Amino acid sequence: MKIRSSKGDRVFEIAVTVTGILILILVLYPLIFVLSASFSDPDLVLRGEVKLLPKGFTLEPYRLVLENDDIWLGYRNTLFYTVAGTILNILLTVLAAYPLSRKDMPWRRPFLLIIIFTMYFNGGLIPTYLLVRDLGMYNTVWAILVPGAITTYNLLVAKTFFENSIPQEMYESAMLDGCSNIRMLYKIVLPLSSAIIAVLVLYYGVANWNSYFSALIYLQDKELYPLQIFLRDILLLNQTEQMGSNSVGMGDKIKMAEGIKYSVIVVSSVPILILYPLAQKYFVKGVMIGAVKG
Amino acid sequence: MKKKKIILSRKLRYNYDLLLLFLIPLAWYILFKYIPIYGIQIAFKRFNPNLGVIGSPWVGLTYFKQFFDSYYFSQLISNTIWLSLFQLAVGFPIPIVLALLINEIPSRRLQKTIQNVTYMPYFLSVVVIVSMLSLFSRDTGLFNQIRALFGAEPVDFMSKAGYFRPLYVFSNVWQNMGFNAIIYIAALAAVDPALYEAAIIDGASRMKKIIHISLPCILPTIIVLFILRIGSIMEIGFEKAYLMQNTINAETSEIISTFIYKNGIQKGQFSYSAAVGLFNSGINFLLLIGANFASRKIAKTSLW
Amino acid sequence: MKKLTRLLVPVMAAACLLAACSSESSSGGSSAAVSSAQSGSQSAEVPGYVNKEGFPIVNEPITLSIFGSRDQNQAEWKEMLFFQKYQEMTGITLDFQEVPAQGFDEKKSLLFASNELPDLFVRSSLNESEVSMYGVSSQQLLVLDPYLEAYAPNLYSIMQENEIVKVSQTTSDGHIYILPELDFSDTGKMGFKQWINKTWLDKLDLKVPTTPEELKEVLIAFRDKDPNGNNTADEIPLGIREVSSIYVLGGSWGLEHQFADTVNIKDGEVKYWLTDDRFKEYLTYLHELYSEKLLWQDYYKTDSRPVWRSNLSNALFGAFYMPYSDVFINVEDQFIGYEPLKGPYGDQIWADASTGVIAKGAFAVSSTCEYPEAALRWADYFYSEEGSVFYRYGVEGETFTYDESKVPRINDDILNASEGFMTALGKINLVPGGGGPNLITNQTDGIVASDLTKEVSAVLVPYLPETVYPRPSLDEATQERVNAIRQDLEKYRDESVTKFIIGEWGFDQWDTYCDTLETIGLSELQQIYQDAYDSLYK
Repeated sequence: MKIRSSKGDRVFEIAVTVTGILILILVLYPLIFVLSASFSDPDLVLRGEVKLLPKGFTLEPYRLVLENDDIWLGYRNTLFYTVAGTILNILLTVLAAYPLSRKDMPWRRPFLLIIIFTMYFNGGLIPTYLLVRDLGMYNTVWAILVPGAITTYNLLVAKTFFENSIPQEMYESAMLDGCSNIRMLYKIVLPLSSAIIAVLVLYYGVANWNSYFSALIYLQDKELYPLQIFLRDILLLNQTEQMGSNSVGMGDKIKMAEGIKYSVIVVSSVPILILYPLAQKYFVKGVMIGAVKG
Repeated sequence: MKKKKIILSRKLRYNYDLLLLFLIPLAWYILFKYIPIYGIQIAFKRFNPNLGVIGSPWVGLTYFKQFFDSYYFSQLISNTIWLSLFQLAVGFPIPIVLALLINEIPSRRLQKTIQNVTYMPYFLSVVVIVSMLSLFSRDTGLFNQIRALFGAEPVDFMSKAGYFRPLYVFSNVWQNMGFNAIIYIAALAAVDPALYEAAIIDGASRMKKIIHISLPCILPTIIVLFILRIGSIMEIGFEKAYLMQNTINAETSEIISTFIYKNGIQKGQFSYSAAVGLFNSGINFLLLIGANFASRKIAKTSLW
Repeated sequence: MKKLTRLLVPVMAAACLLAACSSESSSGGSSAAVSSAQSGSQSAEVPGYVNKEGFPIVNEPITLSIFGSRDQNQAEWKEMLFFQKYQEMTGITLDFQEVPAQGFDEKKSLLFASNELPDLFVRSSLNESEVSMYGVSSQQLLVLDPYLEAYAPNLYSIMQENEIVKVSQTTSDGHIYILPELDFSDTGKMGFKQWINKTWLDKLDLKVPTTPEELKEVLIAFRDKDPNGNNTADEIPLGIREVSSIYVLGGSWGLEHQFADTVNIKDGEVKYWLTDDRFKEYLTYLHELYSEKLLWQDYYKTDSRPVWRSNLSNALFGAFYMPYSDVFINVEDQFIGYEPLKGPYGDQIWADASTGVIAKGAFAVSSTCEYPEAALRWADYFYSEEGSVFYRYGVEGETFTYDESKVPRINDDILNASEGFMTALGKINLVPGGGGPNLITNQTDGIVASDLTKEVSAVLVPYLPETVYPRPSLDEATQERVNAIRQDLEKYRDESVTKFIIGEWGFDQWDTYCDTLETIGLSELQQIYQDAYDSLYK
């Protein structure tokens, strides 16, 4: 009996492992392809010669991309928006999640409803735009940082985390010691919250790095533009004529444009990918506790 | 009633500082979420920038009517719903299956590797994903190279209406399944091992263990996430569809949100797009309430 | 619950008040400004600050804010040579508020919604529906007619001589809100020109085709006989750029492009020919070309522009249609122009004709501008010959020189700049991307048109329709109705026509196609424009 079930189990295990490896390949291959194509001769890429490894290895596309001032400008801005934005996001989110996680918060349920309601109803772009203009935020960094400061979904995740991982007894004993609620926040809650902070950094950080819509609507000066806007110009609107080149004639430039696309993708994605192994340490633990109860 | 009153005032006395903390984010919500709601009334008015929101004249349901009468109305609704349902039917279960799969992989190293690799694409921006799709769909692009291996003719996936939904949904799955699986993986890790041990003693196979132990334990998580998903059925990602659209695939790729954007913002038809947007939100909300109600009745779990 | 409502009411009330205050303040001020600006225009005396002619335009320095779309090849306007020089010449300082091309439409409409308007709109591609909304309805654009004769004499006399221009610019309420970009040169009289590879024709010993059937035979030879001699069948016989360009050969079937649309106007009758048998025959011809791989197979695909340009500059197309040769200038000498094909009913018309107005809404002034007289003088200079040269070529000696035939030639260091000609030109003026207020003549079209382009155009000029009618303006309600119909109609039209050509739909679907167009509102649209035409010309 035991032997038979372990045979069935063995088959199962093999099937599962094989499927797992297939999935691994499925996810990994396009990524590797893009990386290889970015180092290959654009002509060969256009003709479909590149399969897995770079062909006609060249650094020319990277040189062109890295020589482009707009890319560096975009980098600088995006870095700022991501760091400053994420800090602001986490600050406001925690300031809201902590009180809402406390059972003795006055008017807890009404506040929760007010917040959840906004997930489904909003005024739309035009009223929000008019508001941003009236507040004098148009064409300033504030238009990027402030209107999107809190994502309700993340707020709910954080609230749940606080509810589940900080036992009521801790609050009670702290209260007996005469600790105010505000002190409880930084003496008790925050030290226990490295996991959820990591989660928030990841959620908000990636969203901030990849966002472009607010910039499209609210920014006018090129100096303020984030990387994604320049990316969109190059990748989707075929505006690669800006990239100076010493090659002869239009034909060369077009070929170079194709090659640039892959390099641009790599150059713009690598920095945020660095974040992931760093956050990974804390992240999984955080999600585990934050979301299990929902 | 009197008891409630006492409790509330006690709460206030001891916890007014909680309220203070909450005041800042609350102010943000009021300012940036609720005040713009005031502007929704332009859906019922002919908005004239010179007269402002208040001064513009009321026209009642004119713009709603214009929307319902449009030749493309039914196509828009059907595109939006089909895309959402497709996305839900495919995109929702796959992370769960992936999590279950990873959980069953014998080699710990392979487990970790798959987990870590599959959530890499999450970090790519939508602009990058769409441009990858575009590049891969070229005659000599990756997709068609693979087709060539099987002897098939190249197909331009981005230009065929029939391929829009699969491209959209499967690229979403590819990008997000790893990341979304993490929640389920974590939930699975929290399952009491004693339950599994008991099952082995009873002679249960792996499959049986999954069906009778793993799944039921993570069911509450699944349900809550599902309800949240339902509420955004009509809200389906505007950015990606917009970037993927063109004249040929428009018959499947034009959804409510892209329609609102193109006509409302780009063509300046503010009132019209506000009406369509309001209609959209209304449906969303009804669906959410319905799903929550059904879930409370059937599975005894709900969002509120 | 009671506690809840008691709390919410004051919060909501406060929110409403706040919102009310903010919207009112933005609307209250401007309505006052509108009325004063409109009434101030009637006085006949020249205000003291402005000079009626010559430079500088103003006696005391003033500042005007300027908004528009910055083409990706253009430098920031505050650094552009053209603006710097012109500020010196006119004495008017400019406050630059231009935005990049990406996201321009969004920003433009949001700008109007917010009602915080700049003084000048340059390169803002204001179309008739926007003029109807923002000019006629919300009165955010200034009525220009009272100022034209006195302060825009160059444009005014052009309009007196050219009724078409005047009609094109006049809105349904009888006023003029926008100023155009005019092209009276030969190359400007048509959009696309037709080009054919002479080197290939000679190599295969073929004559220039004169009918659609002859064209087809030539294309077949291009496809099969390897005229570029590289032993690869990489030749693409016929190149059409995109979905909206497929009407370019329609003139040979008598299908003209009046009202900048798929319309014929004969004997006072306005006809949308989308359901005509002739159009069906034309599409059948194109479908034959496509299915026999004579027509570029990728023409309808998105993201096809880079491949289109690459094919052009590698001389892979045998025959094609392009407005200018800048993209394939390096292989230009292989090509020549030729007369339009004579179609099955004897028509030999080049349909892609222009009214002379190549951009209707190149310039406008907001109703809050305090110096409308100066604003108009500012733009009017570019409608003179001297101003046209300045606008398009820059400063003599610095950026261009005159050749023996008094034609301006841009300096070589700009033409051959390492970063590309268009980028270099974009540091100097607004020409890259077009769309600004100026007049283009046979003398000044050379900045974008090569000599060969001029020759190619000259061949086609005799075959242009006698009169090219601009699209008439409509009142706001009708314009809204037209917008609604055209939106759906054009979408369906483009999708269907493409399907017929690439063969996804057989012509057995023709009746369904016609019926659907009717359902969407084809006849209604036609009637609206018929009425508009009648009121203007009958």
